[in-house]
Amino acid sequence: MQRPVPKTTALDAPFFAAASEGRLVLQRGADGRHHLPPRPAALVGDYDWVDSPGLGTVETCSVVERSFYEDLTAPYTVAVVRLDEGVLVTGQVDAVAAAQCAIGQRVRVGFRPAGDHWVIVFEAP
Amino acid sequence: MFDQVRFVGAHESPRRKTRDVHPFEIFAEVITGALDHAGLTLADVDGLCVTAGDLGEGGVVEDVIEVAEYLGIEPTFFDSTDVGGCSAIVQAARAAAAIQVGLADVVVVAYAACPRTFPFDIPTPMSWPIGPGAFEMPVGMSNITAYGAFAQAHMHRFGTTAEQLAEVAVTCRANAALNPDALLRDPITVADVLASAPISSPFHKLDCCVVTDSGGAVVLCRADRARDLPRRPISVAGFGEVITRVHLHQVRDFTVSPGAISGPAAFRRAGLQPGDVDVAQLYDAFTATPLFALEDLGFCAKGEGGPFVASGAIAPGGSIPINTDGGGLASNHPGKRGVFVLIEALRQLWGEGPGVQIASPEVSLAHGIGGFFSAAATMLLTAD
Repeated sequence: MQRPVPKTTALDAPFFAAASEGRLVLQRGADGRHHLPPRPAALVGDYDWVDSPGLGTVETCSVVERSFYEDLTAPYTVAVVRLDEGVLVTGQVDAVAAAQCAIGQRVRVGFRPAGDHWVIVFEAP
Repeated sequence: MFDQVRFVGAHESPRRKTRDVHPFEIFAEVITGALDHAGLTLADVDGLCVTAGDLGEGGVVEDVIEVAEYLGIEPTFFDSTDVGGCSAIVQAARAAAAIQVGLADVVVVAYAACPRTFPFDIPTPMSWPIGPGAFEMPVGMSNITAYGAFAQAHMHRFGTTAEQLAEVAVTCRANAALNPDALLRDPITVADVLASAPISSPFHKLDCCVVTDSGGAVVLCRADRARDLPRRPISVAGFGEVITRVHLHQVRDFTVSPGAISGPAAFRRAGLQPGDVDVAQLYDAFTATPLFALEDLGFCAKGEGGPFVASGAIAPGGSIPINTDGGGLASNHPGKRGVFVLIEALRQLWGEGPGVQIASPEVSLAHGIGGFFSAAATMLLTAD
């Protein structure tokens, strides 16, 4: 199976533009709460995009031992991380770090190129 | 709530592996089979519910109209809600509501799919990789990984063990031993489950449901008509449903399933408690999903699911026997299993269970989930 290639929209373009530069930005709504993926103003009010250091804690994860994707070699870990700003982010931990991936572990968001797009990865803080 | 409605027939296809059979042929087999079981014919049917938009899982159903055309009927009530695995249970509630208010007289709810032979090379994403899906689908996600993430969180918070998860598979396989149509009928042990190939933690191959080509259908009609039909009429005592979210990045709590909303609603509407249930069909896509259901529907306390499933409570002689035909873990699971959960819940009340038949049950429960714990539907059934 081929991994789906993300398509961007005007709403989430700032995220992918920052990702291409290795930076994490989060949408911040009118009430100060952060959102990822971004939502339209109809849901979050007037918003802006703010830089994030990308630090967070692993909420849960699963180590994939059998890959269904031609371009992903097992083992790899899919992790869901709660950033310090409160939002959850889904990403990958590659095979080298997978053995150390554990719930409660501190990580930092990074970006790995995948074709002409970027996949969220988690690295040591 | 549904006093004018009764279930009057059901049929599960004996098929498990097909070759070059269009799923619509199976739709025809199980729908006519269920109608025959009900003492009715296609000419009596004015309502049709099937799950549509199911291409990647071998359902090949673009829309409900295709199936109506194939059967040669023009239903004046229809539904094709797709919320994943529990869709048929959700559709049965819609069928019951339609009959209750007079929008239909005889409704068939059916599902058929051949995921082993009609893959069409279409990926089966939970969402398309644009918008919210762009933030999750490209990371190498699968159903097994998503549910694995929920199970891992449960193990971390409550100390649930891989051995306890494996007990669910052992119980289902034991129940399947008597079911002549179940795909896997040889007994297994906890050690067998743990020794099977790891797929995505904490799940091994035997923690995961089978993949089959099959189908099933149920028939509902008005209560006054049901009295004249051969099967003992079955009532919907209570029903609850909920949809929550698709992506893991929107989950509030990885240790709770949406059954925590659909289950209590069903019990409240039925005026019943978990202790009143004699037999339960709990959607088993993975060993963890019945464990979550037992907690979230109130059969045991939150966090106690591990010791509970290891205690013998879910075995045929226990306080809440589950998945009496072998479930998805041992008997039958094309892309979606909701119709089979419902069929077995009905069969137990009719005394027609093909695997283990519980002695004279009065309250039968059908509980299904969908997506990545994205939806749930719980239905309580009683016989007249």
